[in-house]
Amino acid sequence: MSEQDETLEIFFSETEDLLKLAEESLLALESTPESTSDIEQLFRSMHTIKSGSAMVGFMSISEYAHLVENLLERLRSSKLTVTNNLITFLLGSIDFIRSMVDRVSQGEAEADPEDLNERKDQVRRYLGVDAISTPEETAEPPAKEEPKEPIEKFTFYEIDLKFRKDLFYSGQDPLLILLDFAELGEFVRVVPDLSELPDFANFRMHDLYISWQIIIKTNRSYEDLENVLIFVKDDNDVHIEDVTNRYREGIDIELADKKLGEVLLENGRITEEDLTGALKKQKMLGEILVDDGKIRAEDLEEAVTSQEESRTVYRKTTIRVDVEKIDSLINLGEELGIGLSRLQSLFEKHTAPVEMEITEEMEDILKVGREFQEQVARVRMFPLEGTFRRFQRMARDLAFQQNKQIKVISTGLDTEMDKEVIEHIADPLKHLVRNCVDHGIETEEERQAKGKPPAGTIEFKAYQRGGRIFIEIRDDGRGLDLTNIQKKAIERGWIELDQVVSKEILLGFIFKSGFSTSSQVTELSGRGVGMDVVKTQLDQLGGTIDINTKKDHGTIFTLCLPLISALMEVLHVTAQGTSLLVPLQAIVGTEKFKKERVKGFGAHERVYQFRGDYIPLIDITGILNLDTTSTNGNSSALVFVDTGSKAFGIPVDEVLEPQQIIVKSLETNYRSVKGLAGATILGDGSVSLVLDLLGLEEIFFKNSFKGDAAHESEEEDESG
Amino acid sequence: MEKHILFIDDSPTIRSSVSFCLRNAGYKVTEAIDGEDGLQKMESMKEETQSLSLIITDINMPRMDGITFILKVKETEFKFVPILVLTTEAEESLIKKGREAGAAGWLLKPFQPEQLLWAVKKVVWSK
Repeated sequence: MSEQDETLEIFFSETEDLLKLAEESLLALESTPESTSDIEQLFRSMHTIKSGSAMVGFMSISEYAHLVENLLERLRSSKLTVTNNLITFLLGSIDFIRSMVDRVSQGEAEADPEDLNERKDQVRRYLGVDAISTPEETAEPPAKEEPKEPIEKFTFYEIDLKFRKDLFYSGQDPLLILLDFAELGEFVRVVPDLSELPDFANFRMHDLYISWQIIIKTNRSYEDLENVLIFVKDDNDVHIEDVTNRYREGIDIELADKKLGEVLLENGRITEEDLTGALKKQKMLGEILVDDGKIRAEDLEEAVTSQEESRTVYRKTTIRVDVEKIDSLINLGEELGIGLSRLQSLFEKHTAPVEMEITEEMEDILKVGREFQEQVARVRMFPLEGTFRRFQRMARDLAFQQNKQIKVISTGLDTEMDKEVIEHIADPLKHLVRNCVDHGIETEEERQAKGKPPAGTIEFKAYQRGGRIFIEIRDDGRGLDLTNIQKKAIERGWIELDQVVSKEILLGFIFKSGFSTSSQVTELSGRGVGMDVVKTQLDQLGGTIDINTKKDHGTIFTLCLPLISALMEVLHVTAQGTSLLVPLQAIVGTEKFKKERVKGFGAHERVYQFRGDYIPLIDITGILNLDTTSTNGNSSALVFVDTGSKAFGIPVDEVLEPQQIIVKSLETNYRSVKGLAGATILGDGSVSLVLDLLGLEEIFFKNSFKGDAAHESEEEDESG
Repeated sequence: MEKHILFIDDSPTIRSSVSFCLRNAGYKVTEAIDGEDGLQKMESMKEETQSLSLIITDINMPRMDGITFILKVKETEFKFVPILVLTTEAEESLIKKGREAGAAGWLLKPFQPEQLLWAVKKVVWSK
């Protein structure tokens, strides 16, 4: 990677962090509009984006960020107050910057020029046209510009250099400046003024006592000469004057009519002390305000302190690492774990007495090894916080556009998921959030008519249960219109006119392609493609979606997702000689298989009496087609599980040890198999399959309707 | 002798690109992430103050801002090393403050590499 590419990489990663930071500040400002630290952070993020993008040559991004920064500056100086409108606008600006960054990262132009201008105008309108600051005057010369028309004739300039006495303390060197001038033309005359030189006793080595007057003959422009003084012109008594008239033939026509004041100045009658003294009389803004009684000294103190505080806020730093590197780390971690487990069992089998010390050391290593494995596996895991924030943001944006009021609540922000899964659920979540806002939440008037609070509530909730991650999106809107769904289903010929259909089945229809409940398609949720896509995407992830809805009370969408590459507590069992792992969290209990407690009905259905209840038994070996040669012959134990919605028992041959494992997705190495969450390598090096209980449940219980899932297994008929 | 420049900026992007530009032009560059880090880096150069030809610093930085940094440098044996300020702050009063603290010059971001090198040559002897 070249150094320039590296700079770009750094830029992309930094900008991404900054945009997130800015977004966080904005969302925080929404609830606490007065928060100066958030305004400060926001301002600083934008500021850094502006300069960073300019450094890597993305001028459109920089210019746009600059305009936004101006806007934020007004916020910072309290010329503008935080309003919902403004926040929405700024969030939009951040999106726009992000889109430009995305485009350049893919090698495209930053933005369509027209779009960019339109966007810039929007910011300007916010700023008020008269408030547009002219592009900053850069102190630098237009270095790249070719010299304009070569100036044929020579010009004479008089350069007066009277520097501050303490010039050396600023690291400047007058000799460098003189040499710079010498490069630009021919010195006609150089007159040093030594009048200020003190007695030797008073001479201080690092003070400057000499000033110069130079007459230069040059074909360069005034600006070229002035540029030499770039760093000294502001606080030193330096002048350049065109004196060509005096030097018509290269000879100085002494001016007899010079004004006294000019002479005084030239002769250095005004000293540096006078100058610095005058400079010092100028006070800082805060002090002036205090003196004028506009603010109290304490106010000033407070403002300065909070400013300083905000400057010390550290940014969470992140680094970008190739996923492959992490994956190979994870694999190594697993191999290490396997090695350690083997070593451990060797030790246990070891009959000869072993030194105590070695045993202790062994235990330590095992502990560290497990910890290491756990931490490595966690590297790929990210909290859902960022995802939720994004949708929180989207929800409020959408609501705002539709003049609806909403309140967004997020819980379980620290629930961690595999990065890949997080990336893949973004689209389905987007659809669901849109649905909630577009169709779920009513307008303010509608809500009030129903006696609901004017602002709708959307809740995002994440939690882990049964070895899976659940994400709920809940709104308190109007709920799904079952009558309408039924009507549509009839229209589409999915059910008969007078067919009695359960609520669950009706709800299932909204995931069928070609279905749209909303009679008026909003601009935002598109053309009613949505829900079937959501379902497909979740299927691909090995996830499921569940709906719970009640008229005028709202809807809950529950996404249930697998933990890929995730650490899981499992119970090791064997069934038909196959090694299987059951997620420990879902297990209610295990017991010895007692034939007399089994009640069979139908061809295959069996229930088992467990703790006073009759619980269905699922023949997993059959469902998974593990081994059909010997069915149910030697089941000697039962594992009872509860997935949250259903409880069932699994007959197994043998119940072994509980274990902690890292689940490997089957999808990456083979293909996704319903009923299996993944596979893992056990301590003894053998491969074992992890059961996906919800998947099993779905195969067993939910394929009653129209047999969508029936081909998955021939084992079952219709059931509840 | 190779001219040594200390460059201080809290943005990795800017650090990377400015260092690239300076190194390309034959300068030796040490990077620091803020004023405090800058002072620490200088601590290790104490033995050879002559070797540091220039300091370039940002203004708006966490922990220690550029102005404070300049004031601190002026209290050390490095006080005669020129300091260029490289910032987006174009506010007059701030520039004045920088001057008073002892900055040799003020450069506004963004800039072209040529401009940076041009400015550096204004305060660093080329031979």
